[in-house]
Amino acid sequence: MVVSFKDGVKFFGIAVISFCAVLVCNMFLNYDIDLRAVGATVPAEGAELYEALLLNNVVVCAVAGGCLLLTSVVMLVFYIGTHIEKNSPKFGILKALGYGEWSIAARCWVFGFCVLVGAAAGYAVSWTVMPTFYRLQNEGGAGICEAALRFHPALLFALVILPSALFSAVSIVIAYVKLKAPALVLIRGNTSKEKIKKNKPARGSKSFLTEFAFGVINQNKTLAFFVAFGGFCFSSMTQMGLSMRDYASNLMGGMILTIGLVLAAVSLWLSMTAVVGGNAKNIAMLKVSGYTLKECGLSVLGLYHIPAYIGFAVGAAYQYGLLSVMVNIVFAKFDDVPVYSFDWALFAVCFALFTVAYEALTAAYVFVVGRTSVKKVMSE
Amino acid sequence: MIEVSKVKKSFGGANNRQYVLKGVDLSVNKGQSVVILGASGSGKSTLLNIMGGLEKTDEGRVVCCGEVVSDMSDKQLTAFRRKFVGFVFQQYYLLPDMTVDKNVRMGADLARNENYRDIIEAVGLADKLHKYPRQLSGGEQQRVAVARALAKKPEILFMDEPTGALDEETGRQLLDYVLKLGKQSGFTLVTVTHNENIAETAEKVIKINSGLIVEEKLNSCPKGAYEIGW
Repeated sequence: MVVSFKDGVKFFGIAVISFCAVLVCNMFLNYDIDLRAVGATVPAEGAELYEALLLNNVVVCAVAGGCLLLTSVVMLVFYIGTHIEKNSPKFGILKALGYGEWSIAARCWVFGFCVLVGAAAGYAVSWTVMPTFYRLQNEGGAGICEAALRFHPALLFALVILPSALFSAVSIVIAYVKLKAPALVLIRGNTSKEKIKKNKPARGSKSFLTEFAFGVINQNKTLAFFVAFGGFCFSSMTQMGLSMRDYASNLMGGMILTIGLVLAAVSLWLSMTAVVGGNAKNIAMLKVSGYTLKECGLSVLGLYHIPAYIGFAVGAAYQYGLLSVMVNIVFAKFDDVPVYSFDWALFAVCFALFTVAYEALTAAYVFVVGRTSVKKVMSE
Repeated sequence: MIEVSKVKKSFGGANNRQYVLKGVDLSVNKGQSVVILGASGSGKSTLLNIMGGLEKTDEGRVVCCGEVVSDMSDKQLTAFRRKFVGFVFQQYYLLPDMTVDKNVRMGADLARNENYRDIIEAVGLADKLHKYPRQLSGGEQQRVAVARALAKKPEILFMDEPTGALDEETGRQLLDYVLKLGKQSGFTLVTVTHNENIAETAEKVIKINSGLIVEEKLNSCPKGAYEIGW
């Protein structure tokens, strides 16, 4: 079988992101539709609050849904590319035997299945949370607008069925493009276009390990993006979730905090697994030559600290910018809204927690590198 | 230099345990060129990996360069390989995204060998310094692997079927380079092969069959790489 359900399971990260995106979007879009339905009953003195609630729904859906959708597409492109490169000899043989690109690529619809699983789970969970969410939102509306929870089949289609079908189609197209390479190139296991770099003068001052570390991050720029995204999610969503208690319900804060932690954990876990897995043979050879575990681990994962902490810094700035906009524009017309300023103490606590979590994760992967059996890697 | 006594090694679980080495004894002197000859599945590669500190024994004792390899922890084995050993495998295992220069530097940095380019020149690859492995032929890639192993100035060079993936001409060429460098540098050379002709280049030939040493003989007149059959 070209692609099995087992391969689809590897796309766990996309399922988690789909889950988060659908969870948030379904809650707020469902609430938005139900809130608009009671728009005619809102008294004139409550119009501003009503408009602010509607705008809040749109902003949350755009920020959470849009950002997560973009991330899942990037992740999908990356993982399909990686899957095809890893299995390219198998695909090359199929092509050499006479199978067409479309007939092989069509099997990649399975990757859309992980979106279906994540989206369906997110949709289901959102319905368990929505009664509480509606109650809190209605309390926040101070009795001016009372939205009643109703089922909207269009949202089920737009958030679960449509994305799953689209992701399956995107998977097939990406696989088709990747499989356009000649059969022999696929069999040799080099699907990416061969770039012959210009001969550079030897940089004598840099050690082999430094050069190797730069090489690893250069060849895995997408993974550097995911590491940065992990730092970004951790920073922005934990700080946002904890500092918005004056402006939103605890449920909303807790939800943002949880989603941030889940996204950060999944992004960092998946990208580090991919980095270590993609360099398994190189690590094995370093170990054979006598490089220590610390040297192997740091040369493979060390430079990823840079995107991780850049992501964290950008995330802190992003959440500050977003909350400032929300407070200064969305809630500008209300008198009793507390003044928002950057919470340095919270930033310091989140930074310390992120540092501990990230370093622990790196240490765990260095341990994984150490346990990698040289013989097993080489016999693969 | 190397003392192997009563070494046993098995693979598999309790129900399907298979002994690959069933009590091996052998010795290799310093600077000696040794070929371990055996058919596929005879245990020769396992024996090489054990002597080189890549695998651990179930039983028995291995002393290499004065160090008791069989008693070492993983950390100690890493330090042992770093200090004493070079490896060349049938499949080259070069770093695909690094040039010839950087692949060889991988070994050179471990021994702080500033003159590693002399070895690249010695294996006839001076003009390929900035080429990537995919731009080289199989024979050239294997020569890079040899240069990488020798750049760390090992006391023992272990080669596992080094010519197994090469044609006759490139195989002879590689062997010629290694034998000449061995005479110049004085490292101990242990080669594992199934090719009986290659055994004629060694000073000592050890035949292994089904995990046991079945024959051990000294060769007073080892031949050159171009003097043997293939």
